[in-house]
Formats: sequence, structure tokens, C-alpha cells
Amino acid sequence: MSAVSETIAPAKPMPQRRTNLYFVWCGVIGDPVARVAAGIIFLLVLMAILAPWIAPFPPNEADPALRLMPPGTEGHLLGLDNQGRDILSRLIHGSRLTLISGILPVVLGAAISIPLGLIGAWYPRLGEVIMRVMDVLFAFPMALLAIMLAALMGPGLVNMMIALVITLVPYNTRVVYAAARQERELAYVEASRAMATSDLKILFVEMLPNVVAASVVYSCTIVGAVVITAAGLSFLGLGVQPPIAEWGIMTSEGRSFVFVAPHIAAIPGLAITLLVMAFNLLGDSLRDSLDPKTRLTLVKHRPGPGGDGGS
Amino acid sequence: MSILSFAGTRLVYAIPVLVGVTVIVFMALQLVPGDIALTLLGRMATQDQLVALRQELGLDRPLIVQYLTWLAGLLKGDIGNSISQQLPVTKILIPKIGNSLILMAGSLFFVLVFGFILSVLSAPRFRQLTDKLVVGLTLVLASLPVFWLGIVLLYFFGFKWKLFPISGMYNMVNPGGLGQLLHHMVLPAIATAASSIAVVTRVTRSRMIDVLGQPYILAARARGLSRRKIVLRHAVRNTLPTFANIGGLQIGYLFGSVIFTEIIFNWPGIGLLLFDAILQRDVPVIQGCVLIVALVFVLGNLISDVIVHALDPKQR
Amino acid sequence: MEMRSTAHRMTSRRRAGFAAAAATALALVLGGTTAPVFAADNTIVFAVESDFSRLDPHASRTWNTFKVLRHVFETFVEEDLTKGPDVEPELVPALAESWDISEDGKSYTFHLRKDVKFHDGTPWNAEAAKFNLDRMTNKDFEFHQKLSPGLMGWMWQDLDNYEVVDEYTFRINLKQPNAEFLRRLTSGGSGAPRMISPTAVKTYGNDEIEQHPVGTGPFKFVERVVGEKLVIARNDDYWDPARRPKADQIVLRGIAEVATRELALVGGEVDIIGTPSPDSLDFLKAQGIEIVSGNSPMFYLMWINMKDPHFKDVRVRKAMCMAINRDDLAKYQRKGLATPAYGVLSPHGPGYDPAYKDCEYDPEGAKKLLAEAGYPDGFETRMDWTFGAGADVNTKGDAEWLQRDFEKVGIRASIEMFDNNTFWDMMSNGMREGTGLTSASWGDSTFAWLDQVVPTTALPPNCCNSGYYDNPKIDQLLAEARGAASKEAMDAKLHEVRDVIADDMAFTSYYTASAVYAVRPDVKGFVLSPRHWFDLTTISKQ
Repeated sequence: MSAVSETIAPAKPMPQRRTNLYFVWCGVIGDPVARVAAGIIFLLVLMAILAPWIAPFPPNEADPALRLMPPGTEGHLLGLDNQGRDILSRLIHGSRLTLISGILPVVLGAAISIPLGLIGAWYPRLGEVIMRVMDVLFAFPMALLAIMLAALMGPGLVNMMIALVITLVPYNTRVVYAAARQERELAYVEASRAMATSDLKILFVEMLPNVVAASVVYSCTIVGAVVITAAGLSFLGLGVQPPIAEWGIMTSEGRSFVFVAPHIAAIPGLAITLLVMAFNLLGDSLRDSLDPKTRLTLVKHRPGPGGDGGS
Repeated sequence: MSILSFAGTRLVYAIPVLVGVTVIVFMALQLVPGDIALTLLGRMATQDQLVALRQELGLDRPLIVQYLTWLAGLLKGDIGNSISQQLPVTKILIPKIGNSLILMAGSLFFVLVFGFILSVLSAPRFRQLTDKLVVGLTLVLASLPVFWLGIVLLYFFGFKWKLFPISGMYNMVNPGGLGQLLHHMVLPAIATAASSIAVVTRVTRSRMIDVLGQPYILAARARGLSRRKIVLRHAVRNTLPTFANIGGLQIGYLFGSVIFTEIIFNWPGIGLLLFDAILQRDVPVIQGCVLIVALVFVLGNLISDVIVHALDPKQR
Repeated sequence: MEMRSTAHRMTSRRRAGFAAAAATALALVLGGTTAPVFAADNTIVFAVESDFSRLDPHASRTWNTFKVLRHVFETFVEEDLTKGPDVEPELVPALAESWDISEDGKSYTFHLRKDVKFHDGTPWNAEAAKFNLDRMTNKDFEFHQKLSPGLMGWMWQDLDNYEVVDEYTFRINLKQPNAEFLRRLTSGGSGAPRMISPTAVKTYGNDEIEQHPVGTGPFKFVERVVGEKLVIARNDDYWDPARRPKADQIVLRGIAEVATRELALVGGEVDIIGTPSPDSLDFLKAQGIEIVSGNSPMFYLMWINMKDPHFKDVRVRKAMCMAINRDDLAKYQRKGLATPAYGVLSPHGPGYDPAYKDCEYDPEGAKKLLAEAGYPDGFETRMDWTFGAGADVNTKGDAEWLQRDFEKVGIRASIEMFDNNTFWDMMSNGMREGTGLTSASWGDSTFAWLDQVVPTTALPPNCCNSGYYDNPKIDQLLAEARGAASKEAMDAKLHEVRDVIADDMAFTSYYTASAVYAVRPDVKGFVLSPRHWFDLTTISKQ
């Protein structure tokens, strides 16, 4: 759904091994744009955690006499929605589910993808099967697969999360698989093998930390897209249900009042854009930090003759 | 490898993927809670209909047999009846595909044109103001939720400034020709295209930056060729395969966005149909929509691959 | 190098040219097929609130579908809906020129109009009437519509038999008198007792017929693109020259999203829309749009799950009723285009009393009742709700409003939203376990709808006594009301029904909405009626 899902740079072998995460850290600290993005995300997370204490009103408290009043109405900085609820308060409370529905599926998706990609890279035949299954999943546009799964399972937050996780697995698995295959050819793995270290130990003790960096970076670049997809599912009525505050459903509800009170849809949509932009900036910066040449490598999201995914 | 044999190979590779797609769409039905026959027929179904359908689907037989029965139906164009309309799904689906493809074509046009212009503007001015503005613009475009952008465009360009129509494909009171269609298409096509414009620009720009750093470009510059000539004659040509490739990849993502813009602009395509089907829990229609989009996606990628192959001198 | 690059440039240019040509051709072909050219000057585009159900009158559902069907199909009698929303419509002859009712009120003899033809040329006569009655009620008939008995109990529950007396005389005999029989004949929504061409049914078959609806009405069916439009055109051979449509064609579109509907109207894409949002009326007027509103028999009814562990206690049900602040709901949420409603008799329907209340707004009293029932801290439940169809708007907002009212007395409810068709399918099966409350708009000018909602004959799996209110006394009272000799006697029986239900608090209502339409200024002759539907023959652009 967005740029970031397209341009994935798998971790390249680098001279100093085992310092990928260090590079990532330096990259963010050294990049002023990334610092701003990380700052925005930090503030939003803080806002989500402190929501009940900083929001001026409870999210579902309504003053019916003030329905649809615009931003700047006394006591209601961002105005009120169609129920007469304070939009600022709903925005603050809504940040919780919006963040969770963007981040949690990515984390869970990575948790499934990392072992899948590692094992696939280690056992080539099994890997071939896994990657062919992933190819099939790539035949569905990301938003569409999530919509189909959520629609068939029925609306609700949990089902939406499950749908997103399933949708994300193929993307992340491909990244891990590509990184792990490169890693497998390196000297230290050969050495471990020669010392008859068990496969599992090589995979999950020695290779894992290096492969994780690629997955983490990729995950960061995709959070923004997932936030949009999750909000989109809620927009379609497949995600959180009323009256729960969440930015996607808030935008969706505001659509019915777009002429008389455009602020109801405008404000949560703007908030989503800001959040996604912060994640995208941070993701770009992380990716660049792993790829000193700032070269964007194209990943083909589909099978091909001899195409093995990644790079 | 000749174009034809390349296309043939790709087609062969696409077949297992297409089979896999049908498996997933079929298996997704197992996710629906409750009785499958009831899900497919709706609650107004009579007992006779339920019994007949259970027989037809062979719900008591192993999944693989059920799948093959379903697949046989699919190959004959029969994927069941819409619950809400009681019409064959294919009959409802077919007129909508064309409408969605028209909107997709319009979006792809914007993606390619803007992607190309923005890349050519920014790459030769790497790290200059124009380049930074373009990079900033792509960042914003990539971060806009399509459903929100649609509402914003509709509010300003359709409603406030009345520059474009805001609903449907053509005026039902006074239906016109191609001009009217294009006029209706502008806003939804731009909303659909936005995030893909960002993707295409970013990838094409960075490829062009790479190309512009190649020794032969430096040599050409040393020979005193103007920047305009270098960009147009060398950089563009060598960036073209990347451009075509990333442009082709957008087809699927455009479909993901089209679902939302069709709803917002009331465009009578697959997205709007899918949205109605979701609200009505019309499972056969949902399946049909997903299948057809996946099919178009796979074929679209195939076609774009063939075009890339044809454009890339290295591969010939 | 040089040569290859030239060749390359040429191929790419050729390719680009080809792609552009192909795109144009595609657009032309598809654009051409989707935009039929017809006389635009007197075509009305009418956007209603939902897409249409089946066009087979004996198997169709929803008021919006009936808005179309009543112009394509007719029956023995009709209501004159051209006199505005404040006049009780007069019963007028239609496919029957006249009729006799026997002394005991059980036998109706219709003298059929001669020289009426269906749109396909099939003559209308007593055999055609019998064919239709068979199709609706005779399970052994070759062309029986299986969905009909489930949908149309409200019409044929008292039917004994029917007979062809001669070519132009048809008799229907009832088991007991029904004071509303003729009025109910003119109604529709859950099926419609209207006459379809027997030839067409035989030609297209029982299921396909809904794609080729052939009746006798003032409009003929032209085409339907599901999810997009339904086109009907003037029937120039209509038997009543006075009622020949003023418009050439009417294009009906179901646009579910209220904002999209309003947009299409403001943008000039459609000429009339049903039910704009109450919040948008000032805005629409400022755009030069005319707002037409009037009485409607529609009100919002609440079903209560009598099997639910909480709501099976009548005190809990009464507390729920007392928790609803109906006055504020009508005033703020509906911007005054609604009046508070109480009890089960709908406004503009038989027996309605505007002063009646089944409970008073009293949140403190409600809390006490709940405590008495063993819920001092309240309880959790679920509301199954529908986006609705005809004349429903922002029902999700209503649900959230009620949710807050309930929360104030301790009833913490979650909301689940369903589209209209799914919702009613679900209601036929009875309310789900865990769902305490559900609601939809209903109410009508006859009490046919009560026959579908409150008696034990409507208990699941029949529709729509979905809250399992099992009280045979109600069946008896309703039968007595139908058989009542006078309007006063009927009203008195209906009051008994209302009071018994209020004592049990098995159902309640919360507001009545006005019918609201927004019309572009160049459209003339749109007349509202006090029904859920109206007469489209008077509408035009001239």
C-alpha cells in the first residue's frame, strides 16, 4: 500500500560481522530526520499510554447539544463529532488501538516469519516449498487479502489482527529467507558446521541475531503501510466496532458529515498521515543505515524463472 | 531468449500460482463460522435448496474432493449465486471488472506520468532543492491513507471548487461519451494513484541516480554534452527497465486502493461490489471479487515482466 | 551502439503508441456500453437508500423494492397516493372495476377490468388472477414461489379458498373477516400481492422471472444493472390515461451511503434522493435543493430477547425502557425531524394515541428496578443493529446514543452492525444468544406488520417475533382486531394488544421519523404520501 512495502533492502554482508544492530542504532542517532520521526512516535506512544490522564474527556462522553461543532468550540479544541463527543479526547484514546493494530501484527508476523525464513534457508527443499506457498500469497494485493480474510471471519478487532498477520507473513519471510541464505554461505557458518554444531544451534543461536536485523528493519519500513491497512479495514467496518475510538473508524464515521462538519473526518485522517509518515521516515533511515550506498534494491514480489526472492 | 518464449515460460510459471490462488480462496471459506451451505445460500434458503447444495458441494466428502468439484465449477464460470441478488456471481461480476479496469488504467496513467516526470526532475538535481522537494512529496504521498485522500479531494475539488464530478462514472441524467467518463475519472484516479506515484518515483529516482554516476555518463559529461542531453539520451533509456518493472508492480497495489476510492466516489466497479458484499456477508460475491482481482494481478505482473524484458537491452 | 539505440527507441515508441491506442479503445468500448443514450430531458434519476431486492413481487422484500414494484405490477385495488402526506389515501379500483363483500365479511367478489393487458400482451382475466393466487399460496402448484408463504403470511393468513367465477369475475373466500383485507392488498414490502404475467412466468421460469418483471402497471421494466441502477419507462398503453406517467423514464439507484447520496444530488448526478441526513438539511437548502418532508408511519421498534438471562426478568426490560431519553434523542440526534415514540402502535396506523406512554424517562427509577432485579452494578449485553434500508439514516448514531443512555443505568452494551438483508435473515432465526436488544424501523398504515412481529405464529423460524415473545393471548386479540366490525372496535382490540405487550414489556419503541426527500428544483410533481411508498406517475421535469 505504500512505498515502504516495495523497496526492501535485505541485509548485505558487511565487513564487520555482528554489528548490524549497532549500525542501525548509529544510523538513527546520526540522522536528524530519523530523530524527529522517532520523537513523534515516542510522543504518540506516550500519549497512548497516558490517554486516560491527559484526555480532557472520556472517549464516549457526549454533549448532544454541541454535536458537529467545529474546532475551537469552547472547551473542545478540535471540535465535536456527530455524537457530540470531544474529538481531541477520542483522538488521544484512539491512538491506542491505532498503534496496536499497526505494530502488533508486524511483530507477530515477524515472529512467524523469522523461524520460517531461517528453516527455509537451511533446508533448501523445504525452503523451496515454503517460498512457493509465499508466492501464491503474493498473488493477492496486500489490502485485498486482509479484506477477504477479515470479511470471511467476521468483523472485530481480533479477526482483523489475524488477517493482518497472515497477510504480512509472506513479505517478512521473503526478507528473512534472502538474508539467511546469504548468511549461510559465510565463513562462520561453515566453521560451525565443520565443528559439528547442531543445525538448530547454528540457526537460532549463531545466524538468528544477524538475520533479525534485516527483519527488524523491514518491519519498521512496513509499519506505516500496516497502520493504513488496519485503519482501512476499520473504515470498511471490518475492524473495531462502535463506539470504540480508533482513527480509521473515526475517519469513516466523519465521511457521512463531510459537508456539514468536515473536521470530523479531516482530523483523524491527518493524524493517521502523521503517524504513518513518522514510521516511514524512521523505516527509511533504518534501511539506509544498513545499506551505506543508499541503494534501493528492488524486491520482486512474485515468482520467476530462477527468481529466488530477495535482491 | 525471444519475447515469445520468455512470455511462454512466465505463463507456465504463473499456472501453479493461479492454482494456489484458487486453493486459498476455496480454503478461506472454511474460515466462515457456521454452516457452509447456509453461508452460501443465505438464511432465506429453503430446506430443499440447502439439501441440494450440500449434495452438490459434497460437504461430507474429503476437502480435496470438494475443492476439485468447486474448481470444475470455476472453470465453467460457475462460482455460485449471490445471496443478496440471487444471480450467478459471474453475471454480477463481469460488468464491474471493466469499470474497475478503466479506473485502474486511469490511475496507472497518472502513476507512470507523474512517476516519470518527478524522477527526471529530481535525479539529475540530486540533493538540490528540487530533489529534496520531490523526496518530501513522495514521503507525503506514501503516507496518505487512500480513503482519507479520496475524501479530501472530493471535498475540495468536487464540492468546494466544483471542478470535477463527485459520484459515479457518468451522468445518469445526461449520459455523455468518453469526455464525461474521463472527467468523472480524474479525482478517483488521482486518489488511487497517490501512493503508487511515490513508490515509482522513489525507485526510478534512485536507479537514475545510480545510472548518472556510471563512468560512461561521466565520460559523456567530460565530452561536454549538456545535462539535458545526458539525462534524456542516456539516463532515461537505462532507467526505463526499472521504471517499467516498478510501474507494472503497481497494478496490484492500485487494486488495493481502488476498493476504497470506488466506495468514496461511488464508482460502480469491483471495489464497490466487494464493499456491498462485505456488508451483506455475501460470501460467494466476496470470493468472486477476490479471485478476479488476484487473476488480474498475476496476469498484470506477467505482462509487465514481458514488457520489462523487451525494454531491457541487457536481457536480449 | 548507435544503431541499437535507435532501434530501441523505435520499439519503445511504437509500444507506447500501441498502449495508448489500446487504452482509448478499451475506454470507448466500455464507456459506450455503460452509458446508453436516451432522452435526457424527461428522465428522472431517483436515488433511494438501498439497492433493490428481487423484482418478483411474490418473493421480494423491502419497501424500497416495493416503491418500484407498485408501478410495474398492480392488484385488484389501489390506494390513491396523489393527495399528499396529510390525507388518508382513498381506496380506488385498479385491476378490479368494482367488488362486492358478503354480509359476513368473509367473501370478496372482484369484477375485473376488461381490456387490460400485461406488458407482454397477455390478457388480464380471472385465470391470470388464479395463476397468481396459486403462485403465492398453493404449495402444489407447478409455478409456486416457495419464498412467498414465509414472506406473505400477513396477507393470506385468513385465506380459505379462491375461485374463477367467470372470465372477468374472481372470488376470494376468507376463514374469518378481515377489516383490513383490501388495504393490505395495496401494501407490500415483505412480498406484494400483485399480479404478474402468467405467460412471462411460464416463459422465463420461476426463478428467472425476477429478471424479466412483466406486470400491468403504468411503468414498464427496462433494465437492471445490479448495484447500479434499475430503469423503468412509461407504459404508453396504460389502461388509465389519467395516470399515465408524466416522465419518460425513471432511473432508480440504490445508494446506501447517505453522504454519497447527498453528494450525487448536489453534483447534479441525481434528481431526487430519499432520506438525507437531518444534519445536512440546512446545507442542502443553501445549495438550492428543495426539502420535502411529511408524515410517515415508520417508527423505531425495539425487540427484547426474552430468552436472555438478564432480559427475561420483566423488571430489567422495564428499566431498559425507562433508561431511554426519547425527547433528547428526537431533539438533538434527529434535529427535531422526529417525535418520541412509545409502545407498539405506530403513528398514522390504526389505534394510535399520541398521548400514550408505556414508560417514563426515569434513569434513577431504572437503576432501582435493576437493583431490585439483582443487578445493582448492572450487566453486560449486546445490541445487534442494522444500517437499515428505506428511510433509515445514521442508525449507528442512534445505537451509540442508546448505548450511552443504557450505560447511565448500568446496562453496558456492545454494538454489532449488520446490513439490512443480513439483519432480517438473522431476525428470522431469532435473536442470537448473548444479544439482549435489537431494533429496526417498522410500523405501517395497517396493522399487518403487527401480525408479522408480535404473535406466536411469528416466532422463529418464522419472521419476525425474534425476541421469543410467546403469548397466545396476543394471537387471539389480533384475530379479533382483524375481525372487528367497526373501526372503533378494531382500535379497542389493538389498545388491548398494546397494553398487554406494555405490561410484559416485550417490545417498546423510541422515535418516529418524518419522511424526508431532497429534490432538485427542476423536478416537478413529486408528492409524498403517508405510506412508506408513493406514486411516481406525477413526477416530471416539464
